[in-house]
Amino acid sequence: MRAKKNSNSLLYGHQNTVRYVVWAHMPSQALRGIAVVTLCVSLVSTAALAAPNAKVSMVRIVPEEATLWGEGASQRFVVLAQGPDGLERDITGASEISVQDGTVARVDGSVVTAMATGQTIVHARVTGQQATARVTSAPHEKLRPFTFSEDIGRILTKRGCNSSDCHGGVKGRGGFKLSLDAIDPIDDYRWIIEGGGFQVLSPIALEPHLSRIDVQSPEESLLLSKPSRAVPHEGGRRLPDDSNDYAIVADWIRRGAPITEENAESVRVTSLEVFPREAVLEQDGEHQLLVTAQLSNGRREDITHQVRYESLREDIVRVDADGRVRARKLGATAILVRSVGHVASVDFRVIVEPTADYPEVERNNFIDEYVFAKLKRFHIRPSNLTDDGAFLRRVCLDITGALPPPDRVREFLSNPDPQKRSRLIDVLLNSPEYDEYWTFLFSDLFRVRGHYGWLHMFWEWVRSRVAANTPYDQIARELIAAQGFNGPTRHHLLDLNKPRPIERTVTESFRVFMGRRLDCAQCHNHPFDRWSQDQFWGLAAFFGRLTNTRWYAGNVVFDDVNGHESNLGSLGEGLIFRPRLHPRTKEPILPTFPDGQVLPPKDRVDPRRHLAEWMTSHPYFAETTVNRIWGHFFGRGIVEPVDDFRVDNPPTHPELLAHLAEDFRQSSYNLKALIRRIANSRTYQLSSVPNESNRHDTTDYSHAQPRPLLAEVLLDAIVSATGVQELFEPRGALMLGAAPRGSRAVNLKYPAEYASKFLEVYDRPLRKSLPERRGESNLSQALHILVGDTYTEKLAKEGGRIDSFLENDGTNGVLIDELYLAALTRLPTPEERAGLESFITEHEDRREAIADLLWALISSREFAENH
Amino acid sequence: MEAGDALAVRFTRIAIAILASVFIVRPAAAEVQPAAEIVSVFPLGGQPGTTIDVVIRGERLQSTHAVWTDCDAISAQVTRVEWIYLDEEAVGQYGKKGQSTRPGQRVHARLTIAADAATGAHAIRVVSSRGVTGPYPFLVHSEPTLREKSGVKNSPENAQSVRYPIVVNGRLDRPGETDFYELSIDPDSELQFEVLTGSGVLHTKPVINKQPDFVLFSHTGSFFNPKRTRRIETTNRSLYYRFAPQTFLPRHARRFSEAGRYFAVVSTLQGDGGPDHCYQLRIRRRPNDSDAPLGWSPTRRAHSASITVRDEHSFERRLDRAWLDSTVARAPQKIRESAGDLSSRLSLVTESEPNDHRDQASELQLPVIVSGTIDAPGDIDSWRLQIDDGAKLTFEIETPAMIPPHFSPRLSITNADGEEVTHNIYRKIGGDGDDWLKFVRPKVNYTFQEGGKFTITIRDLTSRGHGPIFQYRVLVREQIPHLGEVCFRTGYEQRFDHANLVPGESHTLYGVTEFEEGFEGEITLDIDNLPPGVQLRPITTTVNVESKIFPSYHRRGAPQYDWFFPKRIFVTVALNAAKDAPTTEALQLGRLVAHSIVNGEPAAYFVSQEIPLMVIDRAREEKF
Repeated sequence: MRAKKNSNSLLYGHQNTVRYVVWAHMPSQALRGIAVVTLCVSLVSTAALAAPNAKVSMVRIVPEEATLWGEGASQRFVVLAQGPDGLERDITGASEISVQDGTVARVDGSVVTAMATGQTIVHARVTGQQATARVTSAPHEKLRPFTFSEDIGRILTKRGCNSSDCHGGVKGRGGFKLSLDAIDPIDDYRWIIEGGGFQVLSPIALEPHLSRIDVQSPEESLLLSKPSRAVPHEGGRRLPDDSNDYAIVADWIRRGAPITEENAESVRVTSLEVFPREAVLEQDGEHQLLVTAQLSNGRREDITHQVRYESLREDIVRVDADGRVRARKLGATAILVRSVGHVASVDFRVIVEPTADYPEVERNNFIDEYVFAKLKRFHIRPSNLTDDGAFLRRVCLDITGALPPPDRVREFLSNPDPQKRSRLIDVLLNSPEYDEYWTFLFSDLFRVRGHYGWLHMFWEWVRSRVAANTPYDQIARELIAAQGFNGPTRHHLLDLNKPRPIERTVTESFRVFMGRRLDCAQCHNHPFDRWSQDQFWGLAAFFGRLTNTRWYAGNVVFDDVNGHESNLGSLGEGLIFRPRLHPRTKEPILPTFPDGQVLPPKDRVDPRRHLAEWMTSHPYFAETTVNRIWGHFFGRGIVEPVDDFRVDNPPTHPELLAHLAEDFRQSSYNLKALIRRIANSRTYQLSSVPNESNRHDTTDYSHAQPRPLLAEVLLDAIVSATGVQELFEPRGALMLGAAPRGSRAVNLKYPAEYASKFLEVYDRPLRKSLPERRGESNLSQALHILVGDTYTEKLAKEGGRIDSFLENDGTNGVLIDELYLAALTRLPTPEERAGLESFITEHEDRREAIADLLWALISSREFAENH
Repeated sequence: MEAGDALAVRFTRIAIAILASVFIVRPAAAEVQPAAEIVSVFPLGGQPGTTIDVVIRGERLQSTHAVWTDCDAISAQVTRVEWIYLDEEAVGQYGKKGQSTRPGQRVHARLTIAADAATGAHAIRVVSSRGVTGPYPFLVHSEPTLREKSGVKNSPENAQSVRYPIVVNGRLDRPGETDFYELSIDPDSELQFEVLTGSGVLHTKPVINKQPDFVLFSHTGSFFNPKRTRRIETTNRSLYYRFAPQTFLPRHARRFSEAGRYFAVVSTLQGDGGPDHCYQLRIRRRPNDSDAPLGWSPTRRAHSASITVRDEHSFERRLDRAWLDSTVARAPQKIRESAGDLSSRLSLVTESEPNDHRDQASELQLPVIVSGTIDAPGDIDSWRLQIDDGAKLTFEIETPAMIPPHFSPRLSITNADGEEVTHNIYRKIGGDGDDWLKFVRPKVNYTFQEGGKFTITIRDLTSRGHGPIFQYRVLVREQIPHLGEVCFRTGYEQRFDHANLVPGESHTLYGVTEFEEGFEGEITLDIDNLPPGVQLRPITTTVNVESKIFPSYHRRGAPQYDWFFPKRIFVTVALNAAKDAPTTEALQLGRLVAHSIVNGEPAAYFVSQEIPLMVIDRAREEKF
């Protein structure tokens, strides 16, 4: 057995699950043997290609053209060679690089530096082949003016001074605060010039106010003496005193530490481009990154040496300060590239060996184009299409949360129609079971719970929207901007019988619909992202008028035109509406969009409607939704966790994500169309059985990842397989009686309200917060399988599938087939059938033997997971 | 009479009242015995021109000899009384019977509903040697009625077939029960489905089956189960009853474009069930007033037979000339005379769009009733009004088609500068002590210290509510000091409904009189038509009556209290049966009579409430 870590993100993020998958895995010893052989082949191959005379099919140099603005400007080049195996390798180190006209530029390693105005050609020669690039050294009629934000900010970022684990953290470090990646230069400048400690609840800096610079003696400035280690510095030696950056900072201080040059035209970095955008490395392979800044004046500048690099998985690849990436072990990860106010990422995959003869893989729709193209670039062969039985099981569970009955399985398996899969998807999408299951999923996401009358209203609203396939943007708008006495308004009264604190509401709304976690920005600028505290409270202010009446249980939610009463006010003087204040600046907060646009007063009668419209028309909304739905079908989102988009958590397939989002928008946010698109893709229909090249892939969808069934779905599956209904009796105070006989667990309005040991041990959520499902296996589950009521009683109880079969007096072979179809959606293998037939025949008590067999089936991993 | 004289008279009367309460021998206030009580009635009603057998379950109904009804058109005859254990008849989902700890009775009665009986909710009471019970609704419909078939009908396979129009009398016998009714529906039919229970339409106790659930299914089948049904959409106009908090009675409507088999399914939201979970499923073609939940107004009609309610603080009261007349009638003579024929001067104005802004508003003359509808989301209807310095005005709001929380009208009065001077949002501190609680109020009194041009606007509290059900009427008039509601209560918002008196014992009652719009004067309360040996006497009490009766309104943090609530005067009395008071076999309707006195002169007289009374002999109590 091998441990396989999955991530199941069924409408939630953070659902890392450890499951032990038995099937489809080779014995670890054999795998290790193959890995060793492959590694050896790979090493030989790499070494051969790196050698000057190795055979390569094509060599190219990147960039093919470069403009150097002024004497001293430089550009780093990378030389790439594509071998017969199709893999492009960085062979810069093995290349001979030269310039044609040595008066225009000079070469130092792979860096070309301008010497005079003119044009020249850069040559790279390797293994008998040559590639060229054109370099223009342009006159620099006007030097780019100095700005604190770009020039000092760049150094602080490059040197890691403003990283989240240093002075860019919430409160900074050592009494010195900087904004993350120099995103707030004004604040940074003030902290450096004026000093003082950061206070979360006050804009006033904490004393002592100790300036970080000394204009009279620049070298004595803490800004230099600390990172150069002239005085003790906990962060180590970040800025050597012989470095160019040190000199730049010292010169800036010496000039009086201006924030910018007078009358200077502001030039800033508008975007970062990183080459390559993704790369494949063999084990011990290396690759140089090139980072180019696109400037606001239209020029491009090589800033490879001016940025900070960070590997998200240092055990897979490491990157040095110059952007040189080195493979360490098999796997995939991303390198983050940080510059002033910008972050970019590069995907890296370390493979065993390249695939020379990559097979043609059939595509069903655009999803496959992106997924298979990436797999091809990464030399990973996708698994085969899954068989009909496994597909039927998978798609039924994913779309309806239900197992197909045996007669339907037989019917589907024997159906010769080549279009039967897509037809089935349509049938399932139009089934009442779809309505029930997706109502359940969205009830989890929207946290349908609370007072039973309200719970019903809220649930009914979700159900009606799912059943009508209401455009998802409309659903979101109805929920965010809900007013009145109706289902979606109950969301705003959960737990408290009054609106929750606005900071909680905005955080949850953003997480659910925009996929961003703003929690941290409530108290301070987000330490790992670009969300500022001001942005947070600007968004929160949209909920600032949210309030409710109380009419016994008939609370009406509305936006009070007078504002929101935050607390008692002065009772003796009548009503006082206290405006909500920014916790740090103590200024009244106004409903403000993240771009700084304040909602005009005339629109503040119904502010949440404007927020909802803004949110649902924002690109984040569509990409978050498709990512969430994608995560449901694949066990992990393109961004994972599905509700944690941030600059340092890049998507694995950004183009696919963008295309899916656009497709979703074009379909008018049609959830069924999105599901249909995903389920019809070949990517979704791939087998969970891996091949040699994709065994280690968990992120690129080369094969299906087995996913544990949700607690409620698993319980329903057991009911379906055994044919014995579950009785749901109340657990808490909300419900007085039982759920209607025959209720599916996924059809309970609030499953946590019913007593069920099974649902408890399998981690049903209480819907108190997001997310709650951890999806972790535990000992209780194992014990419950062995002796729990759910299993033992359902097998022992009369009237189920076993007794129904015994009444029909069928043969053991037919029985075994029936149970396999009911539980696993497949027929037993001949070996399984033979062994089980003899097991039942030899058993003294036939019913008991059949019960044992059924127990074995429903307690297996194959049953408990969707694969 | 001079003002000083009036004051002297008032003090004299107060002194007499205090002396009387001290010197009158106060009867022994015995512990009030648990009253006889109806728990459920099955079936819940019938059709005019029919005779039906009903089973009334309840407690202390032994020796029941009569069933009282609120009108002559419904007569009843008790046929049998059985002792039972109420909880024993409750069967759990697993078929397990309940405990045998709660003795009760099952009264069998035959009710004859005359052909001319009024449709709607009637009240019935059980009369026994233990006295008279509180009212329980008995619902009379024009549609044919049908009793549910026995046995389970919890799936499409065993559903009971019905044809509409129909009223099915059913019962959810056990927790988690669902009752399926199958019906074939003609194409292009527009039907309305209602579920009614004994809860909500009257002040009943205990409240059972207060949140029944109704779902409509179509017969579709599915990939997984060819017999599957699909839940289908209906327009939900579930009725919310403030009368019985948290009671919602489902009312759904749907136009069926295609003929087919459908299933109407009744259950409860909480999954409860038992022998008292009776319901009526009413299926009929959608009536014209189907969007008007108060069009079928069981609450008012049922009460009108036994209790006269004047609730000036309800959105349900009908604002018209008669209302204005009745208000004037409760005012002192002088005011009545000065008001003259006020209702003849009442103008009725209907809004006409566009009138969202004050520059589009039309001018009003007082007194006036303006009516309109919130036609579109965010619609605001405006009127202008010239108001004199010091004017005291009253704004009364009615929502004839839908009450809060479905439609919460927000009234606002703004001055020429656009500043809001008053509104109908009442706020107070409540919850766990730091919450602002808000209510929309149906009546606002306001004194305009400075006159001028004012604008009245009315809109839904939300920016979304609109449509035909968002109708309103606003009566704007000068304030008329008058007596409002006069009644006896027994506790927190508990209206005194009936009394079963034991000779030698007394019941303490709290008389509540509302002095509306600055009414000043005195009031005497009496109950006439008392059974022999029964007297009403004033008593002293150490109870803070106001906080006992209206505790929720008197927490701190209630600004502008006088805008929204009348001054309330409380009097504590004892309803005393003499030791030799003869027992009564039939209930007797006592009448609460109110006399107001202003400046020493009689001001108004009216009967405020009818109260069923009996004198019973506790010694006749029977044992199980």
